[in-house]
Amino acid sequence: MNTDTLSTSAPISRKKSFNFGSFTIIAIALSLFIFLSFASDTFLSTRNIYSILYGVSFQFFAIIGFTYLMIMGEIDLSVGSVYAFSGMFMGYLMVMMKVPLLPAMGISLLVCVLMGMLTGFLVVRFRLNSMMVTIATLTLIRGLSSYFVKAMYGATYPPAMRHLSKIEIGDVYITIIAMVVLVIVLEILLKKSAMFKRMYFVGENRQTARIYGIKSDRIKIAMFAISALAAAVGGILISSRVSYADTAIGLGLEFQLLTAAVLGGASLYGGKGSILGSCIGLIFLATILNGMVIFNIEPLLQQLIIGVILIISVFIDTRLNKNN
Amino acid sequence: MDKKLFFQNTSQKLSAIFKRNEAVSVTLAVLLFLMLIITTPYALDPANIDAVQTAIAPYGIMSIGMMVLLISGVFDLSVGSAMCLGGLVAAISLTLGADPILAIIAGIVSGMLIGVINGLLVEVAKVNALIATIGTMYIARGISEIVLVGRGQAGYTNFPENFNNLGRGQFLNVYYMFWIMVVLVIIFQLILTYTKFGRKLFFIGGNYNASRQLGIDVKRIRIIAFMISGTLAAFAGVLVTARAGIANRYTGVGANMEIIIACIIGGGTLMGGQGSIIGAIAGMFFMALMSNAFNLFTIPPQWQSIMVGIILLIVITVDGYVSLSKQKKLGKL
Repeated sequence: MNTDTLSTSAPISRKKSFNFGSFTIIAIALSLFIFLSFASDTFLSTRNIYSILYGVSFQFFAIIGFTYLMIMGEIDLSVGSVYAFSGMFMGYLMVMMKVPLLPAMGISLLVCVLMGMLTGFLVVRFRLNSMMVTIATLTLIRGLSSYFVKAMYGATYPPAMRHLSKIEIGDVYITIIAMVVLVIVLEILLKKSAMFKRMYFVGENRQTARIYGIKSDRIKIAMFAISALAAAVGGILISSRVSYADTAIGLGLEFQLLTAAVLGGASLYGGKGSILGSCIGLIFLATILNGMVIFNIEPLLQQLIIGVILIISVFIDTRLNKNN
Repeated sequence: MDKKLFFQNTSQKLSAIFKRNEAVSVTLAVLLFLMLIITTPYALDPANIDAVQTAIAPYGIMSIGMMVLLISGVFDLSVGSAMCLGGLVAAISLTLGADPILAIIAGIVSGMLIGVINGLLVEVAKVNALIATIGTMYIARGISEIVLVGRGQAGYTNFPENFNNLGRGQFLNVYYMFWIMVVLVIIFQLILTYTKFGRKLFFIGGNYNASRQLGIDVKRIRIIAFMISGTLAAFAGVLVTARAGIANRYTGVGANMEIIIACIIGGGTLMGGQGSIIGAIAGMFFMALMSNAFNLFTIPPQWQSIMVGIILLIVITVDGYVSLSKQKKLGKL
């Protein structure tokens, strides 16, 4: 494989897809943040910020693979179902089968990875539309997880599992630390590593990528597997926090993640997006909801506002890129 | 007529029928129906037939609109929200003392508006259909929540008898709404097959840029398609409201996925350019009969989504395999 050609052509094609979306979201999120901290006394309290970050840190896992797939021009709508399934399956193994913590976690993660690989295989081998395939897997996996919900009759998870989301390192929850570390590491990898840059090539132009010798099929299968794995990790942690099998876990999460990723600069046409942008997108959505709670705005307005923001930001992004 | 020629013709016709993409869903629906009436006496019980009819009709009407959009290469995730809002607008108009006819029209117009907004966003503002309709899905749901503030779980109830009659009345032992669905299916299938508008939808879905270069007014046609989808969704919402005598926030939750799944089983694809209304309805019949079968055999409902997921996966994969090998044969790959 000729990596030299890759690295020399990289700056040119990266510049062409210069990402306004990412800057827009950072600017908007910052101004919202500044506005809220001036307008309200409670917003800037450590406790409030901490609780926003803690809430986001679970969904953050699910958005990692989701963003990677969007960069490659694919989409994985099954994340919400995997997010629900992984924790419930692990809980089922522990509660009903009396499997110890680590094996249960391992089995659950393995099953999710296999499902992700199957999705990737179908998409790549039969050249299927990934949205169609993942609508099918979404339905299938959601069915499996509601099977486990019913099978457990509302039993709480064992203490060992409930403890997972409460592990702290120096007074900070481990999920928040993991989020910060992952954002930094993955963002650097995405910008510097030739292996990660290939994803942008695949997303921008699959045929050209193939001519350059990028094995896009393998990368795609791997990324579907990673998407499922990351969503599964987040799902296990959120289940551990919720502490029982709740049918509401992960419902509509795929649309929420899509909104966050698009706000963070990803495009459905591929070739754009970053982990940092998606993460800020998630934090932005959570901050809006938080601000609405502080100002006592009807929580029912939430959906309306998220919808309006989504459409406006994508509209602006389309306009900017068109003039570019 | 020569016997040999006759058989040849018939077998050709038959194989042509089975190549058509609605064949899968029609076969599935018929098989499931036969299985139901053979295996359980309750399948033909009047109460069960009532339940199946009123389950199929609203979603069937919505799947017509979805199929029109899928053929033209886009889709609409806001149908569930449009359905909820349509029913609510009609209910609010009734509560304010409007004439039932007027209330029904108001409900339908609200859906039409959502459809037009979707169409403008996708075709004029050039926002991707997935994002535009997720946006309007959130917005319409949000509006529904706002108008329901202070109404409690039940939402709006106590409608005039002649409005409820729209959802509960029967003609020849079949619900009005089922008749309406049948009429709409026939009308839209004829429009797709025999009018310029219908053919243009297929062209646009098959190749958007080529259609534009050929001088087809792609924007107008897609906006009309979105309008049809929104209008039918709101109408379905009105019918459901009339049937249940209640308009609340739970109407149409998850409807978007169920309808898209029915359309895909019925031969539509998210890539556009293929599909038929008959297929969409057969897909919806299949979905409804499936959930009916699970009810009749008292199998826990979660097995239903597992089953639907597996069938959908098989349908998509086989379809992809067939079209891939076709392309390979033509030397395109």
